[in-house]
Amino acid sequence: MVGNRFGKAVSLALLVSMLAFGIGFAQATDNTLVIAWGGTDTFDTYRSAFAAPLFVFSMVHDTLFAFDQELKPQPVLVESWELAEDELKWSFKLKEGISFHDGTPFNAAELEAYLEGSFFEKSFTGWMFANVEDLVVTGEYSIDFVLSAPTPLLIYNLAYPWNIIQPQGAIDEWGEAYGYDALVGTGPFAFDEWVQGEKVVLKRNDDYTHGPDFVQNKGPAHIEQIILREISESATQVNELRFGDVDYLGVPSSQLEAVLGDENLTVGAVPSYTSTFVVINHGQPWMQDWRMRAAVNHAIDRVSLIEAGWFGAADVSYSIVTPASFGYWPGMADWGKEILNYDPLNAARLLYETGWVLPAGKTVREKDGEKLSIKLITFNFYQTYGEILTAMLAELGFEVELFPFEYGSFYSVIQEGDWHVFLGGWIDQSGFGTLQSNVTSAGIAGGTNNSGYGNAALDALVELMNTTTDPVIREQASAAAQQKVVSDLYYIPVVVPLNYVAIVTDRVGGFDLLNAHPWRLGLIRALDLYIK
Amino acid sequence: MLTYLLRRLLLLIPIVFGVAAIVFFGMRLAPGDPVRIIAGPQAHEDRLEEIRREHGFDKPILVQFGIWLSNLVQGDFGNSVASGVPALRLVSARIAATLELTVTALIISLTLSVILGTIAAVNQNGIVDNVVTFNAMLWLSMPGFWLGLMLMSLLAVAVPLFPISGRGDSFWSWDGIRHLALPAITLGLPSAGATARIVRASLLETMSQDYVRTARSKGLPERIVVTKHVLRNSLIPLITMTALRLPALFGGAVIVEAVFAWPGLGTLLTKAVFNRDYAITQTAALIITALVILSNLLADFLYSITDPRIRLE
Repeated sequence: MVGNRFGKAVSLALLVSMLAFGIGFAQATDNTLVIAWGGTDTFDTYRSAFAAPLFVFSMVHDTLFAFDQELKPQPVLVESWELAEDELKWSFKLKEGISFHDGTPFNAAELEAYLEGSFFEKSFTGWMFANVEDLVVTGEYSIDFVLSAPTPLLIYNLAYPWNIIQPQGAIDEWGEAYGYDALVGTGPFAFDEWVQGEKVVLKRNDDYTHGPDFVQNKGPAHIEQIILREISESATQVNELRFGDVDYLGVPSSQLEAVLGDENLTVGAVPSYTSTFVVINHGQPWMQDWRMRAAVNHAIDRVSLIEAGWFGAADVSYSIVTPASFGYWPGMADWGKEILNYDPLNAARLLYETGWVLPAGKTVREKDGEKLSIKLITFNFYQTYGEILTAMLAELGFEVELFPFEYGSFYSVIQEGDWHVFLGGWIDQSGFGTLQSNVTSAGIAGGTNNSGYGNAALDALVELMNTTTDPVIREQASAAAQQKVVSDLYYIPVVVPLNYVAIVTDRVGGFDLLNAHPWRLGLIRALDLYIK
Repeated sequence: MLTYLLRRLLLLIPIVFGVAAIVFFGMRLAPGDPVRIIAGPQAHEDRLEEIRREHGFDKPILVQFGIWLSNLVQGDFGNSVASGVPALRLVSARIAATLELTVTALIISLTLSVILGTIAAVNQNGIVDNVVTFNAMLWLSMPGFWLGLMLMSLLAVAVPLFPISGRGDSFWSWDGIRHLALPAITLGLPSAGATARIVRASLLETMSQDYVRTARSKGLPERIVVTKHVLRNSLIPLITMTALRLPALFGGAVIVEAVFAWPGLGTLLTKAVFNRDYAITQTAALIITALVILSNLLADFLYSITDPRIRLE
């Protein structure tokens, strides 16, 4: 009897407390899209090149051009354009009737004021426009880019997601606080509020009607408000998506299983523009022998690495340019399979040929009494992958010292040169940029060619790729450069992680349209998404 | 006592500066270039040089320290490299959330530890004592990260009594309290486990004192003996322990804030350390040091209230 009364009391208390606490925390019913993201320090492109703010830039800002589903540049703020016969002048006619969110009209004078007033000098991507000698405003909506040398990739550079257009007046007015207290663009959403460490609120720009051709809805956006909730812990992000108030999430690979098993979620995968590769240090004499590099290459079991390290959420990579970056040559997958394969017997043979033999009863190869000891360095967030790679190399008789370091000390560790193999990655939407920075001799001086390997033929191919006006020759040069990188094996492609995106099925629509683009939300405006 | 307080407050200045100097030089001696980190690999060297000049990183380290000290006495804590915003503004925007969390966790920890420690001491070596001791050890042993996720799974997902993460509208609102509950319990529980052990030991020691025996022999009920005579005289170790655990609470808050997406200093500071954002790290270190010293001062003050024999001289 007492037990029964006690049970009733507990049930009643539970019911009352559930009602009081608002059990279930029903999803927001208004026209708001809630996204979980990792947060940022600033939205000032002149201060930080971290990728996180791109999520907001793609909503708040426009670039003059943007990449379509085939990663070809399409006009956004531009009506038409023309290249002079001598290829030293690009003339652009801008779209009319567009205003920045602060009311400043977007026109040729405003564009010139921004590009020359701050962008060319202060932007971290300003070097892309080094050939621009002068900007000449030829009408209210007409502007010429006068060049010192032909620059066929100018349109690609103008479409690069970092090269957003902002009003110089707002940048000057807000000074140091621009990108923190204020952010002004012409995009489909206006920056409304940033509660530090908590959320960024974007409000729909009702005047936006100039969406690019490759989106179905040209504007205004269907969604009235976007809230980006700053949640750094991946398990919490997934809990919020499945049981809380988050509608959209870029799913970390470690949480993939939980998301894929949830029938209330729609999950899509797109290849990322992150390329993961093994870099061989050219400064280490052993490694200048191609057979040593080939042995390392054949020791890598990429399929197992993907299963064990990436929980299956990655593809085997056959080029240091990823399929989601413009400039990727689609034939690389077939071409690269011949070289980039797991072949431990071949690897052992190559090591034997170079004089590294495995003495009886030992696990480490030796040559002239010296052990085959190498130092493998990697980022601390790649440590798991590094451990797997260490085991793979050890199988072949390498003695591997794994040295994970935090990103902050990356440059000093690399520059010290005390390493043989670096398991690293490169994030770039531009395949041309990836090649230019990583594998050319210019990159050695610039500090981004970590291998330190320079090759005149490769330099010439990259130069041709950057300067030819013929798109067919450009594609051929890019293909040849990517093949040359793979065959030289100083940069050994390993995997391309996949970006998994999940939405709450009965809340968000338009996901298929968004997912048709190789770049997920964060580089693509949320014009086609809607709340059901 | 006023002289004592003033002297302690004056002592705060060299201690804070000492800690700040350690953080200043420690951060700069660690490998890594903040400008390279924030600008990314594609930025050109001339632009990087410009930013280094802007922040004075091109100057010798001792000159940088001198400039920083000189600015500091004028109330200028420097600007964040990553955002360009004054570091004091960034830290101030977050400190309230961290204090809200740590103070609440402290209250939970103290309340639980006094109650459980007392129950355990009164029932020394009995089943209740063993159960309480076992629980105290269990909480103490649980990593904050794991405990947070377990509480989230249980009380926010399985039985959705609390929100999963985030901070509510305001500290004083019902929504604010609901949001604060899980992070504060996660932070306070391990601390309660440790402190309950101290309370139990202290109570047992006091209970063996002659004056307690006298109180009992006078026929006072056990409840009065414990609450009026034993508890107050057992508080000194509790105050000491609380003051000592405060830095650990700030440290634990870093993890708890990440788990529950609590917008406190923890996430800001973690990012700042990884990005080598010197100004933020130094400012946060200065403020946390000052808070810890002030809490120790408060503990000294509480000693004199708890035990009139202690004089602050």
